[in-house]
Amino acid sequence: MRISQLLIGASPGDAVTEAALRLSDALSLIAESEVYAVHIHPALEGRVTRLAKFPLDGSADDVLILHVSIGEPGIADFVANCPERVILSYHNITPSSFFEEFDPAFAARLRAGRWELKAFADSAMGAIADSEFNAAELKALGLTDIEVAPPPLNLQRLHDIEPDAHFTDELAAVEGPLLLTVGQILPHKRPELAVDAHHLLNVNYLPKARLFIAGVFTNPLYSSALVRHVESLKLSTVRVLGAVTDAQLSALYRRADVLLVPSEHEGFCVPIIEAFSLGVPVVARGFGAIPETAGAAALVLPCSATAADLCEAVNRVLSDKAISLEMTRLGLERARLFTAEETLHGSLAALARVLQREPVLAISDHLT
Amino acid sequence: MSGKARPDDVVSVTVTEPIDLHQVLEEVRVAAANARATGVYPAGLEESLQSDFARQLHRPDPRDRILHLRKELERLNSAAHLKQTSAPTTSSLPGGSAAHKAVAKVVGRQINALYEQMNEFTGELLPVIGHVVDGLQDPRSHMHEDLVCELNSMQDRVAELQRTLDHLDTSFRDSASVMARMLDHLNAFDGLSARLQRLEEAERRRGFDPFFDYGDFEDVGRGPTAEMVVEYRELADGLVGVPGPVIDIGAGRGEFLQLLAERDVPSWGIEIDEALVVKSAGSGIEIRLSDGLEALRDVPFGSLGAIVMLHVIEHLTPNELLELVQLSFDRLAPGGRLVLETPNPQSLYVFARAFWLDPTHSKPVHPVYLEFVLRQAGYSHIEFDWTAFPSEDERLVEPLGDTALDQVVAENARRLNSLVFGAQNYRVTARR
Amino acid sequence: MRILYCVQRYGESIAGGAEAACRSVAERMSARGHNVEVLTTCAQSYNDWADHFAPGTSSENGITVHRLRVRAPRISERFVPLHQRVTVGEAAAPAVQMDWLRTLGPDVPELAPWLEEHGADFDVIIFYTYLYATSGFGVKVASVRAPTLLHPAAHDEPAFWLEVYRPMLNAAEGFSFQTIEEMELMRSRYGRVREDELVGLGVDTEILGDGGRFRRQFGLGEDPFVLFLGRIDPGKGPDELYQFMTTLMDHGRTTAKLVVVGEPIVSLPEHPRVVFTGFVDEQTKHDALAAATVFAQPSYFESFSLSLCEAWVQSRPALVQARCDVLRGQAERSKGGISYTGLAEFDAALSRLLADPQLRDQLGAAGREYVRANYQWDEVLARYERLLERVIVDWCSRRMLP
Repeated sequence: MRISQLLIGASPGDAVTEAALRLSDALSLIAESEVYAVHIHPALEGRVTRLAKFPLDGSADDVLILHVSIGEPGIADFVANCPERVILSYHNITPSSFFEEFDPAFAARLRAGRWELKAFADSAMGAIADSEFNAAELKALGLTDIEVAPPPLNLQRLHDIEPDAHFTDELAAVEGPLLLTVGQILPHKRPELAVDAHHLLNVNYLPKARLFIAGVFTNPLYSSALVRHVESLKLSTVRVLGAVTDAQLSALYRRADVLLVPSEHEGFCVPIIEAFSLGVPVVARGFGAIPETAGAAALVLPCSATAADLCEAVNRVLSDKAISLEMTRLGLERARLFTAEETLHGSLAALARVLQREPVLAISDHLT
Repeated sequence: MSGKARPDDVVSVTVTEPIDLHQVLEEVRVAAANARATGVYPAGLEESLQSDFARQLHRPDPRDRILHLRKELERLNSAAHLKQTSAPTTSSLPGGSAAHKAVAKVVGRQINALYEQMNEFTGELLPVIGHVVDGLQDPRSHMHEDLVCELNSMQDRVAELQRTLDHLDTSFRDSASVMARMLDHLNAFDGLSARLQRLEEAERRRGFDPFFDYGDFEDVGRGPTAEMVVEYRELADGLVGVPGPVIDIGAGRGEFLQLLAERDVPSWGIEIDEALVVKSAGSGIEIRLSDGLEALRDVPFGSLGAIVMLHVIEHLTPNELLELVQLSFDRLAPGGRLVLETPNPQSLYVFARAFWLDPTHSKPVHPVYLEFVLRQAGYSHIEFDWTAFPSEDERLVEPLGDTALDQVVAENARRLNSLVFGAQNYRVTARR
Repeated sequence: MRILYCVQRYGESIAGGAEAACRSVAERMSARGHNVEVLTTCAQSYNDWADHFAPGTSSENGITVHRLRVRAPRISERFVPLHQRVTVGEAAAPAVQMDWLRTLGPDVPELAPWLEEHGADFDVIIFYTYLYATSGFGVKVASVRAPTLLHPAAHDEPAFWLEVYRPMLNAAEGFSFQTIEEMELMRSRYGRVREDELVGLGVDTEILGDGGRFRRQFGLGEDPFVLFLGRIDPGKGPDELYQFMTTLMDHGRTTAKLVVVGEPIVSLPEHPRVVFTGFVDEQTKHDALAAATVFAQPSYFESFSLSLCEAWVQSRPALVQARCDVLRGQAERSKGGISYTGLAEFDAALSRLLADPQLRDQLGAAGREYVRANYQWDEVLARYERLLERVIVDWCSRRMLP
C-alpha cells in the first residue's frame, strides 16, 4: 500500500516542500511513501523523485496526496486518469492579478492553476487545507467537508541550529531597533511596503531603526525593482539580504525587535509562527489566513492599512516596552500550538479523517 | 544592546495593567489619523513612494534578463543529458515489460544514435548560448536595441528547447479536453466581436461627418479672406527672425502662411482636412496633409523657430491639448515661440456669437488653465494679448451724468460690459 | 497696497540676514503708507524652530504680526541623516525630498489653512528665501488667493537645484533679486526672470562713522588695519582671512593689523597683531568701518553683502573674495574693490593698497558713488513698488479682474 505525494515544484526553503517532506517521513513508518515532483531543485535530487518515475502499477488501495499551489500543464489529466485515490492538500494559489503586469507567463500559469483546481476537486475524494481561508476557496468550488489543519512545521530547526556567528556579530553592532521581514520577494508579499513604512519610521520617529529583508529572489525583475527602490530613496538603513541560511535566519529572529508582515495574500504564513516561537512581536495586515494564524498574539491591522499606518504601529511597539513584552508572551504561548509534534499529529489526523470516509483496508487505523 | 524582550524577561516583569492588543490597535489608528490630519503624512507622499517603486518595476534592467538567462541555462544544462538508460521500459500490460525490453534491445542502436545526435546538438548549442550570455554580461559591451531583441528571442528559444525536452519524457494526452476549451473561447469571442461592433457604431455617431461641403459653411461663418490677412500681419511681423522655420498647425487655406512667405520666413503648414489641402495646392505655399500631433512627433527635437496654432486648440480634447503643449516644447529650438490663439471664454459675447456656431468646437480653453499648463511644461516669457473686442455700438452705454442714479447706472453698465463684451479672442505667446 | 510678508522668523532680536532684510523692508513699506502685515512662526532659533514668542496676533513697531506655532521642534538626529540623503550624491526620490523639506522646517500645520482663509485679503503676498518650508510649501497655496512674489536670496548650493522646489517656482508670479548674479543663477535654473526683478537692497547712505572714536576705544592709534565684520563661523571665510593675515604678518610682509568685529562662534587663536572686539552695537560698527584702512570681505557665500556696501558708504576700499560671484561682481561694477583668489593675490593687492593712499581714496569714493547710485532706500523701494504693481496687474489681467 502506497501513500504518495505529488508536488509541482520542489525546492529547499519552500513551505510546501517542507510540509511534504515531513509528512513523508511520518508516513514512511506505516506505508511506502515517496514524494514526487515535476520540477526538482538539484539540492533535493535524492529526496524527491521525478514524476516520470511514478509507478504505473497503482490501484484504488493506494493514496495520492496532491499538493496544490500553482498550475502545471498535464497534471490535471494525470490526476484524473490515475487509479489511486486522490486527496487534495490545498496551500492556496496566489491570485494571478499580482503578476499580470510584469510576468504574464507566470500569471497565466496561476490562472491555469485555478482553472485546474476545479478539475482536481472533482477527481479528489477529499481535501485538506492549511487554513479556513484556504478552505473557503475550496468551498466556493463546491467541495464540502474540508479538513483544516496547519501544515507540518519544523520550528525546532531554528532553535537547535547554531546561529551564524559572523551574522550575529554584525547584528549585535546594530544600535537602533531592528525590523525584520521574511518571505519570498514576490509581488503579493508587498516587500516594498515594508521599505516605505521603514522610510517613514526613520524620518518621523526612529532615525536609527534598521530593516532587514530576508527572502529568496524568486522573481529577478521584482527583486531588482525592490533594490532599486531602496537605492532611489537612498535608504542606507535598509538591507535586502536575498536568500539566507537557517543559521542566518535564526540569528535574525533572535535579534529582531519586530517582524513586519505587509503581505497581501497568504495561505498560512509560516514566518509569523517562527517569530512567535523566538519571541519576536509581530505587526501584520489582516489579509488571507494571517488573522487565523496570528490569533490574538499579534498586532493585526485592517487590510486598508498603508505604509503610514504600519509605521505608526511599529513605532508604538518599539517605543512601549510593556506592549512588546506582552506580545512576546502571547506569541510564545501561541507557538506551543504549532510545534512539530502538534502540527504533524494534526495533519495525520486530518488525513485519517478524510480516508475514513471511504474505509478501505485499515489505512486509517494505521494513521491514528 | 537591543531593547528587545528576551523570552526570559517575560517571567520577571510584573505588568500593572493588562495590555489589550485591540485597544492598542485602536490607539494606533487614532495616532495615524492624527498624524495625517496635522500633515506628518501629507497628501501625495505615500502615492509618491508607491509610484517610485512602480517606476523601478517598469524600467527593466538588462542585467535582469542576463541573470534570468543564466538560470535558465543552468536548468537546461542539468536536464540536457539524454541517456537511453533513463527511458522507461516497464509496462503495465502482462508480459509487457519483457516485450518492451526485447524491442528496446533490437532498436537500441537506432535509439542510441538518436540520443547521441541530440546530445551532440545540445552540447554544441549550450556553450554558444553560454558565450553569448557571458559576452552580454561584459560591461564593456554596448547594449543596442537589436541586441536586446536578440536576447529576447534567445530567451524564447531556450524556453522552447526546455519545453521540447520535457515533452520527450511525457506522452501525448487526449486532445478532446483541449478542443472543448477552444470552443469555449470561440463562443466568448463571438460575443466579444458583437460588442466591438456596437462600440464602433457608437464612436462613429459621436464624430462629425457632414454630407455637405464643410468649406461652404466656413465661408458663411467667418469673414472673407481679405479681412483675415489684416489681423495677422502684426503677428507675422513678430515672427521674423525666430531661430528656425515656422509651422502653422491647422493652416486652413494658408492665409497666414502667405503672410509669412511675404516676409521670407521659412514655413509650412499642417492641415487635416483634405479638401482644404487640395484648395491650396499651386498657390506657392506648402501645406501637408496630416494630423497635427503626428506631424509634430516626426519633427526633430529643437528644430523649429515657432509653432503657430490659430483657432485650433478649442477643437481638441483636454488630453490632446496637454500632449500638444509637451510635444511642442521639445520640438522648439531654445528661444523658439509657441503661439496659440483661441476664443476667450471670459467673454460671454463669444458664446452667443461665434463659439457655438462651429459644430466642431469641443471646449473653450480658459487662459488661467492654459498659462498653468504652459508653465508646468517649462515655457517662460508667457504673454497674453486680447483681441477682437466687440464694437462700441454693441456695448452698453455708460451714461456720463452726475446724479447718483447716473452713477449707479454707469457702474452697472461698466460691470456688464466687462463681463459680457470682453475680448472675443486671446493670443498667448510662450517661449522655450 | 495691502501686503502680507510670509517669512520663517521675524522680530527685532532675529539676527539672520534674510529675516532682518524682510523686517527692514516691511517697516519701510509701512512707513510709505502701505498696509503691511506679517505671517511668521514663534521661533527664535533656526536650528530647531522651537516656539519662543507667543502665538497669535500682535503689533511690532506698528506692523501687525501673526505668529503660528510649530508642530514640534526639529530634532537634528532625525534631520541630519535625511539631509545627507537628499543633498549628497545622486538625486533622491521626490517623496524623500518632500519629507526633507518638511523636516527642514519650519513645520507649521496651520500655515496652509491660514493662507487659504486670509490670502484673498491682500493685494500681494511676499515670501522671503527659497529654502525653507514656509516658501517651499506656502507659495503654491498662497498663489491661488493672491499674486505672490518670492525673494529667493539664493546661492549656488546643492539644495537650490532640488526638484521639490519646482512647484514653488512655478507658482510665484515674480521674483525680487538682490544682485544680477542671483538673477542669472535663477535664470539658469528656471528660466523665467524679468528685467524689473533686479531690485537690490536698500542701504542707509547717511550714516557717519567716527573712525577716531573707534581707534581710541580699542587702542589702535594710527596703525593701518584690515577690518573684518560679521559672524565668525566657518562658512563666512574669516578663517581663510585670518590664515592669510597672520602668515603675512609672521613673514614680515605687512605691517597692518587685523581687526575682527563680531560675535565669535568659532574661536580663532590669539595673535599679537590681531584684535578681537566681540559683539558691538550698530554705531560702533560704523565707526569701525570708518576707521579701517582696508575692508575685507573673504566670505565664499554671499548673496549681497550689506557690510560691503556699508564699508563703501564710509568710502573705504575693499578686498573681496573672488571665488564668490556676487562679491566679484559688486567689486567690478563699483570699481570700489579688488578681488583676490588665494594668498599671492591677497598679498599683492593688500601691499598695493597700503602703499598708495590715493588709490585707497579713489576706490572708496567709487564704492560710495556706486552705493548711492544703486541702493538708496527711496529708489530701491520705488523700484520695488513698480515691481509689485506689475506683478499684481499680471495676475489680475489673466483673470480679467479690474
